[in-house]
Amino acid sequence: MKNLKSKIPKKESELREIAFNKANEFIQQGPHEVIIGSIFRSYKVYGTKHERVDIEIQSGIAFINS
Amino acid sequence: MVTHLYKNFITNEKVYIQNIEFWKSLIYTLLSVEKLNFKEYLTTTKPDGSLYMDGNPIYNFKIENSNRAVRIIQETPQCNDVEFSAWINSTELSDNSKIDELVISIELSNETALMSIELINAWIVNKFPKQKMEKFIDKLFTIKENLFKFENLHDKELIYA
Repeated sequence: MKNLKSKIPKKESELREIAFNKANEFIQQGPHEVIIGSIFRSYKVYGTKHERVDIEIQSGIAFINS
Repeated sequence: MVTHLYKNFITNEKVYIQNIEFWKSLIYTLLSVEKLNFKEYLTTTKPDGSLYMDGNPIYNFKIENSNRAVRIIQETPQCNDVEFSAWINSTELSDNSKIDELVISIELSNETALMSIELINAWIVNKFPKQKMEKFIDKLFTIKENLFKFENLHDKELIYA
């Protein structure tokens, strides 16, 4: 998550602060295992058109050590 | 005045299940007329079988023999605004099949339910191409911003009158 935040402009990262926190909360609740299809999460920035943080677990188990 | 539905869905499992049924019934009503078959394409339960209970998504479906899907995310109402947004996401599933999903993120109210149905109808029934769909989403978002901004101002004027 830290890596991801560092890859986008500071302004964009700040705008997504709450969305990043929610995504981080989901990661911490891991591990998450795909049973059907995939696991997708999108955390939208409140009041915006579609600024968001996405998590896509396409198969298997993710965030095992969280 | 925005009328929110299933407000405490996150904290009450019974309400959460009723909320899922609300979407199922709405989608079934919309798509059964068109003789379109659909099924869920995402994991919404934990390995122990319990629900994720985060509304992210509250409901999802993919049309059989099509790469089109819909993912509906529902958030807990924070204030008296009409909170609604949508976008198109192109991605892959575990079987390597490619999908184009209409993602709708809302606080559920009569207003946002109707807007969601408008978008699902355009994407699934009328099969709008991706670019046209994105323009339609923008248009709906702008209409929502203007219409409900005016309504909120009107509500405040009534309070102060």
